[in-house]
Amino acid sequence: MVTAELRKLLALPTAWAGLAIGTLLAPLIVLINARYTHAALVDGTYGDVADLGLMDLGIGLIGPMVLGVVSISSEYTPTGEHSPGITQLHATLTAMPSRLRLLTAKLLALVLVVLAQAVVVATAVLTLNEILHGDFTPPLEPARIASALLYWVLLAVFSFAIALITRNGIVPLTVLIINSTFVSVSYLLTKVTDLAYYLPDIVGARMFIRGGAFAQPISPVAAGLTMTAWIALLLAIGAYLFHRRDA
Amino acid sequence: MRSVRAELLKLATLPSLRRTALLTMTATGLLRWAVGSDGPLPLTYTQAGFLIAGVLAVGSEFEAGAQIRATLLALPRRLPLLAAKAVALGLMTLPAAVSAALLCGAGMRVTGYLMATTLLAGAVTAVVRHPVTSLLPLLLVYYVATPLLRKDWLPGDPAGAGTTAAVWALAAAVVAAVVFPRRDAA
Amino acid sequence: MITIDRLSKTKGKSRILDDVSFEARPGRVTGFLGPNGAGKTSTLRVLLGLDRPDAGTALVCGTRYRDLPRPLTRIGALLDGSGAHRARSARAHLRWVAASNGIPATRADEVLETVGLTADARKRAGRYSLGMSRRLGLAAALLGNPEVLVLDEPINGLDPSGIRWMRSFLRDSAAEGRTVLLSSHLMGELAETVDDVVVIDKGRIVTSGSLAEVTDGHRTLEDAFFALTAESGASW
Repeated sequence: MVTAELRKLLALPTAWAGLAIGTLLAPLIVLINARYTHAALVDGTYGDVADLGLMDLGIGLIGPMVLGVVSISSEYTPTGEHSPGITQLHATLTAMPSRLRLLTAKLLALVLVVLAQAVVVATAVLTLNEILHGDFTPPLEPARIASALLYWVLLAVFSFAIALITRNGIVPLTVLIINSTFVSVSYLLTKVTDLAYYLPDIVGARMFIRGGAFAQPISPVAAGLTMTAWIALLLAIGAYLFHRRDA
Repeated sequence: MRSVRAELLKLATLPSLRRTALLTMTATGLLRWAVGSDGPLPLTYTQAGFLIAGVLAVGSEFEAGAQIRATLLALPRRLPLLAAKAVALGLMTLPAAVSAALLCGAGMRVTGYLMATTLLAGAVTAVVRHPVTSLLPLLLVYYVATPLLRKDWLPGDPAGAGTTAAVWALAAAVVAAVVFPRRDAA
Repeated sequence: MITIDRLSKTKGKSRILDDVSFEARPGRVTGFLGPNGAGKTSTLRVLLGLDRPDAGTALVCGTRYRDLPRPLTRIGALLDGSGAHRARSARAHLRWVAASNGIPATRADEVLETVGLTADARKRAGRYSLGMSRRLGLAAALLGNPEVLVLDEPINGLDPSGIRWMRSFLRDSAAEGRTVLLSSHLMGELAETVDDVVVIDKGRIVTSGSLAEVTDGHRTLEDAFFALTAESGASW
């Protein structure tokens, strides 16, 4: 069942785009920024040097977001041609009538793919930083790297849950990508209320990012738990709707 | 112009476009209020709505029921069809672009920029023929490449030169005009 | 009048149309028969300007489809699916199609009546059943009151009463002097409807002629069809 979902996910061109972009983008940016980063490291304006490498992972998060969204949105794309109004979901539900088991299988397939991607990207980025800025790279902290990997996976699940609730690929994908690359809406909200520090996307980053302009002190463990709680809530809502709605 | 009228009717009866317009305007207003000043910041979010509108307007042809076939049966000459689509999309976008620009205290240049953004998205979708797949490269250019590389020739900066997005839209339209007539209908 | 002249088309490595020629004449129902994947739909798509042939021409009333100024007033086509976006009502769909060819908007309601969809005219096309979608597709084909009708597998997805209705609709259209070309892989359902038969298999025309000519020496059209396509090893 998980294998079937894994195959379905990897048969999607957009999923491959997500894999390619998510895997290549972060290492690419490390290379592009190498000179500026080095200059900043030398004159001490880099910020918290402990974040070197881990900070660079952020941009690659588009990968897990795309994967999380298309894993769901592809089910709602009509198969067209011969079947007006018939979506892949009909075929999927016919093959796998228990909806909650279906969701679990989809989620597991997604987690496997994204975790593999996260490991590749983290290895690439940390190695690149070691080569480029060897003198400055902080000692490896396995716990923090593991937290970064966890953040990747959680963000994919977060995207999955949002797509599940909205039954749409375009809007969640846009909002998620803008939020992660441009100025985050969550970050803007922190200017309005400190509670915004607990929104899922920014709280999650606190698991492995030390520096940055964070007014509110949150411990990595509390950050991880908060993000997980958010995702559990959204997944529960999504699963409930998925269970109740007509296909 | 029969073809433009038909394309306008099509766009006007597409619920997802209405929802996008509503959502975009609400978000722009809220952001403007939250940021509390003029400036391009809300527009950087607002332009996403204009990207989505372009993707949906053209992408709807390639969704369920393969509407593109009905379209091509009715208007088999493909270049005039593309032109009619572009005109109709431009006409539909104009009021939204003007309102968004006014809401952010901007003027003509931003109005043109937002319209070019929608037309660029429409042209890219005419080539890619799949809504989510065509949105992805657009978002990457607008929200990753532009802020990161800070090059004048990249579209995606509402505060940048107004012509850049227009040139991109034109280039994408030329690609669509070359590719679309040569292909078998989906 | 439909004139298909030496059409060839290759997709990837396979030759899906190989020197296909035939005619469909006014006042007659022409059955374009062949197993699935024989090249029926490909031929019709080229005829309708949806796909490009590598060689040959396909003419409607002596003109290429894309050179017809208001094509829907000359030729109406039914392909699989309705061609309507799922979020649009049947009526809204027919109205834009009518507008595109300068056909009065009132025709939308008339053709909905003809195909029996008046009660569901305001329903979103995405909520239509397969049979209703086919009828909506037919309504779009009839909008311009065309002299030529092209129908790809018209009885697919229809219930028995729908099939009965379609048969008499096809006969009536031919009786009014229209050219009717329909493709099908269901021989038995069509034997009593068609006047002329064109049989295609693996991209090539196997035989064509009047129903009597083609079935000559065979018990039924179905037998003739199997006999004609058997030697090339047609599979269902």
